[in-house]
Amino acid sequence: MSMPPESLSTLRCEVNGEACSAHVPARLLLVDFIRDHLGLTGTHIACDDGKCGACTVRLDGAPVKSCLMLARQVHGRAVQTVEGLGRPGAMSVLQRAFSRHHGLQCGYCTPGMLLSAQALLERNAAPSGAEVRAAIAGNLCRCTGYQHIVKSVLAAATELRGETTPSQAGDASDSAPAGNWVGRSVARSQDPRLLTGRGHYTADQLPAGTLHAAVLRSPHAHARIVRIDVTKARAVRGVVDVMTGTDAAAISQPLPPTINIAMRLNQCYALATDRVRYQGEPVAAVAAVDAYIADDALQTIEVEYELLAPVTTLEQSLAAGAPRLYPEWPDNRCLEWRFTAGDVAGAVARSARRVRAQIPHHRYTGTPMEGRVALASHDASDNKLTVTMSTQSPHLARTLLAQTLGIPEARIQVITRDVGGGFGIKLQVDAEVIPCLLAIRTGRPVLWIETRAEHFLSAIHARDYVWEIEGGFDAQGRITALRAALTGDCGCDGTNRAAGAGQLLVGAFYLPGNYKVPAYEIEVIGAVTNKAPSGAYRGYGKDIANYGIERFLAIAARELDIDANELRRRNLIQRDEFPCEIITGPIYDSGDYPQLLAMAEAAIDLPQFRARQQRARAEGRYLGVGFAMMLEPSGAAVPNCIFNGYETATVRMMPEGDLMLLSGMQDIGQGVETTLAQVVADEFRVAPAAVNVVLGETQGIPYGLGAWSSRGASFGASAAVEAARRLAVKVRNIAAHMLEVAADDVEIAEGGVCVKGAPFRRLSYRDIGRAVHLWPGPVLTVPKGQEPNLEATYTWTNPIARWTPDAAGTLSIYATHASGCFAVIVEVDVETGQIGVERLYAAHDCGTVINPQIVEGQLIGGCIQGLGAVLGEELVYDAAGNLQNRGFGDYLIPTAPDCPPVEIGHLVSPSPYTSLGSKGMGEGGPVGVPPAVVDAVEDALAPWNIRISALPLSPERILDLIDTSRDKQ
Amino acid sequence: MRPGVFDYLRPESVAEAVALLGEGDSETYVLAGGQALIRQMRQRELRPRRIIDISFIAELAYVLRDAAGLTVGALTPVAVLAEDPVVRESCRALSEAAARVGDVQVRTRATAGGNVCTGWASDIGTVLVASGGDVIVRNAAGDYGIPAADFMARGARPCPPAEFIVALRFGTAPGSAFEKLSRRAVDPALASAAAFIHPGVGDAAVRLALGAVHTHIIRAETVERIAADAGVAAPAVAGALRALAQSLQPPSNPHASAAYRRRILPVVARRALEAAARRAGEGRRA
Repeated sequence: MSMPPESLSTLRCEVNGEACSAHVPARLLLVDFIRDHLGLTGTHIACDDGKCGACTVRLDGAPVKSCLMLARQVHGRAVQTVEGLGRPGAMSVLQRAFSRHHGLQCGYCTPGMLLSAQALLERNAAPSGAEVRAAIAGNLCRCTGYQHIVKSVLAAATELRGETTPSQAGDASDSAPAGNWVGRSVARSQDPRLLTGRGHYTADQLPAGTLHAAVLRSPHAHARIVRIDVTKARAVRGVVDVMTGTDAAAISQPLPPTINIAMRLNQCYALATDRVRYQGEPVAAVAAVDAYIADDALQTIEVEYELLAPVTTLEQSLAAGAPRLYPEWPDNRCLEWRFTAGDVAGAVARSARRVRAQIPHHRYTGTPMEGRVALASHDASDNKLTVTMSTQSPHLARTLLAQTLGIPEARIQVITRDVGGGFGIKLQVDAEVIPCLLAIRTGRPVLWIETRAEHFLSAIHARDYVWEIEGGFDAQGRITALRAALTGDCGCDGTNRAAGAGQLLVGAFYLPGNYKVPAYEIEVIGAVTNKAPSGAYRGYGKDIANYGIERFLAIAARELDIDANELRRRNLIQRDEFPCEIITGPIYDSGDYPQLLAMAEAAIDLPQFRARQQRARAEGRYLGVGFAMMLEPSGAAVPNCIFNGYETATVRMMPEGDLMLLSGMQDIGQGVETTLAQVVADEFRVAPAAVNVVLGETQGIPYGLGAWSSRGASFGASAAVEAARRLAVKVRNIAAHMLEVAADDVEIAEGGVCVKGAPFRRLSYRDIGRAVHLWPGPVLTVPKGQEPNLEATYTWTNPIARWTPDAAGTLSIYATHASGCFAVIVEVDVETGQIGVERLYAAHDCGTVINPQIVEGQLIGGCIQGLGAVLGEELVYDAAGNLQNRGFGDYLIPTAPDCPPVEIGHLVSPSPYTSLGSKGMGEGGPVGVPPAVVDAVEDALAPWNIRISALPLSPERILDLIDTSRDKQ
Repeated sequence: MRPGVFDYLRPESVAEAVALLGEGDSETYVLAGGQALIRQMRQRELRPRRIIDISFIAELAYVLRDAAGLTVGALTPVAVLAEDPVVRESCRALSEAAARVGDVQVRTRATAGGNVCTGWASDIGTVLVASGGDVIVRNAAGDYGIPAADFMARGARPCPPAEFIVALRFGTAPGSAFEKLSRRAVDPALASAAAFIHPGVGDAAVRLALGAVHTHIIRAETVERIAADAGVAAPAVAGALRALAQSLQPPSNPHASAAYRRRILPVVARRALEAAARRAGEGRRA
């Protein structure tokens, strides 16, 4: 099929105050005009249907979504993009407020957010918090939970009104004393570029001649591919390559496993070859000169399918005689694992009381604002592949690509610049293989940007499991034993496309939670179904464990007629019991769980709340409070898995005396670029700005594993600190040699090294850097016996990891255990079933805090993700395996007006196992909030004596529960 | 995804638009704010061959209050309706409905005329039907009015290819209100209701329209009569609303099932009726 070339028309408009003239086709969207024609890549694309607001620009001052406008519709009008608001070094008041108050994390939504907020401030100089939230309701943010964004906008309003605002946070002023950067809210180094539209996300800078890939995906959940005809697609003008699964398999290997612990592995390719196993599985791909033509070509590909019976539920998957997803397997089980410790049967039999509960949990996902993106180019002359991609781990991506493509790792370079959020979703390589194959076939750079529909269909899904828990309790309410079964839906694949099967094991190991469990038995089954792959999402099984034990204790408390918090108190591990090895093998490092619970109860002021609850009920209003403890194992070192647990850092002193830190950690919005600079700065008593942190490329950075398992504060920080300490020793030795004193007689001082007791006998780092690298050079400056360089490398691993199971099968995998207690107050409208969340309080302990504002940002954002998950987010499949949610319009992540303020209480129990006592803490919110919310809703509906089992807590489900209860009464 | 190829025409006046549309066929679409149309084109659910972009016709953006009611130009941005003091003063329900359409960015671009073309859950369409209003349509022969309830019952593409909406004419009442229940503030209605109340009795005393609870927006005439006779708070009103709900066939989607929409319809309608009655009463006392 040959289409005529599109006619172009003249577009004249003003962009950021400058006249602009271009020739554009009619169908060109404004967002593509801004990004591709004008090169203003601060305007982002995060969905395809105008629901996310990342592409917001201002048109004659008013905010609009540039993805829902044709470029030609701005003819004669004035457009403002984020680049027109301010630039690094000359940021606007609003941009500076975002930097000071941590109003951004990954930064992907930020440009649109800024333009919506700027429009508000220009028409309302003194907005309320609610007005700010309403003004940004059309700008989705997945990281921040909006709280610090609202704070930033309000602070900017105050400053713009001329009322001076004392800086409440972000105290990274140059006047601050050297040293002690750890523990301070240092402003993030990446913020100026992210706030001014100068971020470097994968799709922002394309080489000349880049082709755009589009992927054709199966409309069926389970089918055999009978025939694919790509003839018409190949004939579309502008199409350079069309590739089927058969074409791809000819030059690639199956996707390699990421994890194998008691698991059955499947064989799958990035493009299906003969059979599709979930709706959305790739079956063909196109590379064309632009994204529009790639989409045109996709429409012309004809695929004939022979439908197979879909398996869409755990029951169907595990039923005898069920259709098998993988005919070579005996059944649909991809994981079976058992663990027993202690006399469970005896303990249960002897218990004063026994409680049983079934606790199911629905399917949802992390859905970062930037979807998956990869830009590949291949040089056939030396078989070198360069892949720029949005990933949480460039090195792991390289490993997986190498195995799939059959190219040695040494010939693959993975580059990762700014990443628009991850949350576990960007840990594996699946469809990212497709642009690599197209680049190899065409010899041209190929960019693949997934659509949001592709993301929901085929990026990983998480959760979707059911617990069966039986517990014995003695007469005092102490747990005597737990007996549990955990069955999880791993979708079509929990080991290769993603590592989701492993989260069931984490759930099983940690069911004891914050409590003393003397006997424990667990059986885990993972089952495959015709659904999207199952992978990691912020929690990776810690959420499964926490939801299981907290719901179980809430249910048990009602059956035992004990206050739930009292039941918790009687079972909590006590402060003097750390380090505490629990029954399955993990070693809890430190904490004070009873104190966390006491903090949460005090924050809520229970007696006062109960009185208010009574008064409200008399008026027909239903308030409820709920609590949940939280345990967050972090910093995993997993055996038989690519996530196997080490991290390397190199610290290098440069000729100017500045430092470089090379780390395999990846900044995905959580701010390690800044926190790693802080920890290194302290070792040398310099400002964090003197530490240039280099992340995200595999050529020059030592092998490291990236951002997952909240490992930045354990692995990332400890490796950086230890490398810095080793370099500091070298620098002291060199300085002593140059000063002609003994090495023991010098010390690190502010900005250099001085003789102890003689601060004026000193060498600055610049003196040392120049002397060693340049004048006179190392021979004269480095003492004999020491390597003539100014760098040190250290590889840190989890010191309490134990991979050899004992007779019972215990293991120790996680380095640190942050903890918390969450309290939530809700109001339920019993006429409509709608739930409003009034307050959310988190008592939290992650040991030494490196950057308080970043920690708070992580915690708040995580809490709001947990809230979204339990209230509205759900991936729904119909009986035929058709996914019902394809976009942000029907996958309901929280918007700004939906979110309550999150209050935080800190407790500091340093970990003895990390270099600074810090603990990973990125996942606590989604781990701890869901059971607290469920508890609160049950409390609000106490007059109906409702027990919540199914999630999420949609208005419909709440009304059904009330009606069912009324029918019974 | 991106839209397919189409021809693009941009009339600068109503007369020019009429002339272009006269050549129209079923593959010609009128583009106003584009907040629904461009989305559908991006998904390639719609593949227009020709787009007539009327968004540059300045003469179709206005708000006019007269003795007969309130007339709103088809291209008046929804954001303007949400904030315009004349609208708020004369037709509170319209003000409230406009403020509940999508989010700020959508309201900036979305137009009054475009919103009533979005069908079964249109917020402004619900108000228009309750107000007893008309959709004013132009073709080569001139303007003519279509009663709002008829227009909203027309289905997916309410305007014939050679015609387009030039204005919405709203009835007014001393008390009016719009209620909408949605999952999140930015989402479409799970159920919506607009009520217009004239103090006193008579045929036009109470008017009630319901959105997102049936295949199209409907007037609830039986409920109106009972409410006019017995008052909006009468138990018979609640009973009639429940009976009405059972007769409707709302679609199900990930936001809510048909059963849920039927169940909350009486609650949402009652809240709209009560708010409108309260305002009608305040108007009378004033």
